[in-house]
Amino acid sequence: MSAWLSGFSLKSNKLLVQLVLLLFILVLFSILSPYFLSVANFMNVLNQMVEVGLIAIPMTMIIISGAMDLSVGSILAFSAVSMGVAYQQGVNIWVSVGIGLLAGLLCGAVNGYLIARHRMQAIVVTIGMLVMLRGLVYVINEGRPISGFPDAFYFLGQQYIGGIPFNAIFLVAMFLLASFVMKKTRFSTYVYGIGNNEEVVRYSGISVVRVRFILFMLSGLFSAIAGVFLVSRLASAEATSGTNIELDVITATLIGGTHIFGGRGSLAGTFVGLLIIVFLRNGLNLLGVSVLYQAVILGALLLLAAGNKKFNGE
Amino acid sequence: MKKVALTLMTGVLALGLAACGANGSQPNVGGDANQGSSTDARTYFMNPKSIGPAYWAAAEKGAKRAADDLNVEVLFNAPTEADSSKQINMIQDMLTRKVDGIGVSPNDAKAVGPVFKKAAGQDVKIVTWDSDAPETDRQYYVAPATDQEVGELLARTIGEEIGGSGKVAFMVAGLGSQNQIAKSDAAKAYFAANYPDIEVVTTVASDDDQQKAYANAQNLIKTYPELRGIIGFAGGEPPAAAEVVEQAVKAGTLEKNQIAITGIAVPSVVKNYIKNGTIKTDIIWDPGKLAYATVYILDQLAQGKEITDGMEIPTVGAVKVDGQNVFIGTLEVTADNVDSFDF
Repeated sequence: MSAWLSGFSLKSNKLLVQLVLLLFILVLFSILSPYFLSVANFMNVLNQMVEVGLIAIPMTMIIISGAMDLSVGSILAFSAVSMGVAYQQGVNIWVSVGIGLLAGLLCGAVNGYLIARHRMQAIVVTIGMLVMLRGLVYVINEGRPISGFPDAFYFLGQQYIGGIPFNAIFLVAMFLLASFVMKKTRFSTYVYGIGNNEEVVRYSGISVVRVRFILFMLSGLFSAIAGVFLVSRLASAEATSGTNIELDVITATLIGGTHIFGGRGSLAGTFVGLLIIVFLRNGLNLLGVSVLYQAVILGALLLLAAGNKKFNGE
Repeated sequence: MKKVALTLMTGVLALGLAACGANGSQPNVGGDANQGSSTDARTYFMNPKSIGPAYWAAAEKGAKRAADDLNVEVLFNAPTEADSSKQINMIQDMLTRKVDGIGVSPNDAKAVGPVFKKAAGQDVKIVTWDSDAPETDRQYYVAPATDQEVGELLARTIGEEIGGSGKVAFMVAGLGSQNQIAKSDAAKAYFAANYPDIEVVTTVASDDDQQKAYANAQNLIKTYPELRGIIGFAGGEPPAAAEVVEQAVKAGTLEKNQIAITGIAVPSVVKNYIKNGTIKTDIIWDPGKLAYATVYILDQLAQGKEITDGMEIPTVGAVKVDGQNVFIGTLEVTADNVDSFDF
């Protein structure tokens, strides 16, 4: 994977700062904790970062397009619980997974419809969805966790292939695919364009509505996929799943150099940002640092990332 | 050049914060934890549901005392919100740190199954406390009493206070939490068997959020003007109910002693309500002793010693062992003894 990362860093210099910071964190914790630098721990971290990472892919695109999706955590829980309820009703597990993904797509479509078609503020719409879907989740399963899925399903979140967690392999594949899309296709030009100057894109005869709609659909779908992987990893679909996950996702995206007002940013940066926050948290856990201080450190890092223009790759 | 300087600055800041964080948590740790030289000292990870509530802060004190008394290292940490996936990530991190044992109060009894299995595979001792995870690889469950006993005790208390008939509402912390479900189910069953005239009108959940508990209580007294009793099944619920009832009494919308309140709450939080009679009886156990007993049992297991019924745990006293359950006993807090508790 490091070869893959360095491949990107050669192309885009602004990644350098983030990479140096990541390296610094890795070296620092390797010195401070004897348990940090081990294959088992790294695989453990990779296994933990998948849900945040999956959602960070469409989130990066959405932020580049100058919008924001705060409803991802609730969509995750809604999909997870929809899947769980379907399975409890006797539906085949893989069909249930399909139902979960459809539920996520549907939520994304509602977001997209209101934001793109009716030009409502993305933050307002997604906060509304955040609250409403979380409420719906409690209505659907009465707040009780759903478990007892078949062993074949746990493959997604718990199995290792050649010593690497399957879900991490899936995440990297998704990042590579999305990164390709964001570098080589016309769609990405539209996304960056909308983030820089929506009017110009519209006058060029491109359907801004369609691009925005697709982005929020993608966000719903990836949140649902993250939900499926989370349920598989934890063997339980809970009403509280994904609470506050949007904060982690947006933190990773911003530390990764994506500009909050849109127009600039990259998936490679987000991936490095993601690694920075998961390794930071893991290292602090290993040192036995209280979560209260962890929050302070992560917040300070975000302030630095958002506040410094160099960090944002200007 | 500027970039390098910036990166260094960020790093120094992170390091500084990490160092001060480590200092801040040093009292948790009996001995030289931060050197990582735990070759001789046994290390245990104590993991409550979340960090913040007074209940868990009291537990942390007990865990620290056990660490000092037993000369072992105890790390006490949890996510800031009661979130199952963050809790499990933290347990996984601690397993790579190769702790000797973990004491977990699971947010979701089923979700900890896989991580407990992994821990058992690494020969890490596993004890659940405060909330159980049955059907997992945990070796013991440390609790004040069975959830059923506590639920029945609460139901009996309120049944006696309101004279055996009327409408009662339940206030719980989380609808999904195993210990809350078990306690409220037991209370319902007790009413059905002993007080058929008592009707449980609703169960409201606060998700461990004090403001939400308060709003829930306000809604209860408005929605059910006939309400005679409230049972709060977690630490934040009885004080919220008592505060709302007292204000309603002051405002004249509710008669004094129309609504009887009982529940589980730390004495210091409900002291005033007990003294002025809004709450007559409160059920509690010492969370510090619960944590102390958990560390003690982990240490016994790590040394290969037996856990036996009636065994004496220092500062906690004799405990009842029933199968894989260890019970330290409950306390009834009333106006007579409320001043005698130091938590």
